[in-house]
Amino acid sequence: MEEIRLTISATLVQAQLGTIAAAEIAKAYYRQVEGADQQLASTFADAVELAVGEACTNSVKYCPAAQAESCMVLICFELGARELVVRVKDCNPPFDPASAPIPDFEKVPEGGYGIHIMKECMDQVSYERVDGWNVVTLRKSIPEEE
Amino acid sequence: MKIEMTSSGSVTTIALSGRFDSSVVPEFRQMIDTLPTEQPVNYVIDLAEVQYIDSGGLGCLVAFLRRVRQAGGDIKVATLTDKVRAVFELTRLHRIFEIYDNSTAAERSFASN
Repeated sequence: MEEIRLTISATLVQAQLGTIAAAEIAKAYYRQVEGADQQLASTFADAVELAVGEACTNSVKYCPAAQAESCMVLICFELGARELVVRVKDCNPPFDPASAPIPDFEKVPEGGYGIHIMKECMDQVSYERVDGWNVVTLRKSIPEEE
Repeated sequence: MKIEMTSSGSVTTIALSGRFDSSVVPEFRQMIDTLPTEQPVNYVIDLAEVQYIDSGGLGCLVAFLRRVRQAGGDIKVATLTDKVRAVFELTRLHRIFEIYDNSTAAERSFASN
């Protein structure tokens, strides 16, 4: 299993860079697995980009302000045979995205869409607390050709 | 992100380019705060050059829409790429904003209202 790790500071600018990197890794991974179908690779990468972007933004947003400069967010990619697993880790107070309610779309809220987007884009989103770290795991498979 | 504004008659078109994500929320909200609220103004948001939008960018658009509608105006959205349109659909906001293929069509739609 190949693994790639990125470490970013807990700032929105660095979260943006981490997100762009995630999109490029996802696109390259898809091409490695499936070949050079540009459209399908982009669709796969777009979904990963959105989900990782929302996860990173949450890590930055919930970082205690006093620690923002020194706080780090880790983005770890596991490149499986046909599954990309991305783990976004931060050392903020515990926060389980699964506990966030589904947005009330009828009321058109200004916020609260991020976790919904993550869940919609990926096959699976899970959370665990490990040694003081929040670990959000995002999984997306490349379906077998029929 | 780059923000360009042009006015024609009673419609102001705001063309955005770049990544409309959480890192640019303060800049966008600051821009909204400078816009007039004393009288109804209609806006077209042209997203042709926006490569990426996240929940932060969408939240800005919803906040802007609320403010404009409170003043009696409206916002229409134009020229979404497939990628950006997919995020509108994921969050059901395509049901809230009227979406047009290009900014000219969006601007004209105000005249026909």
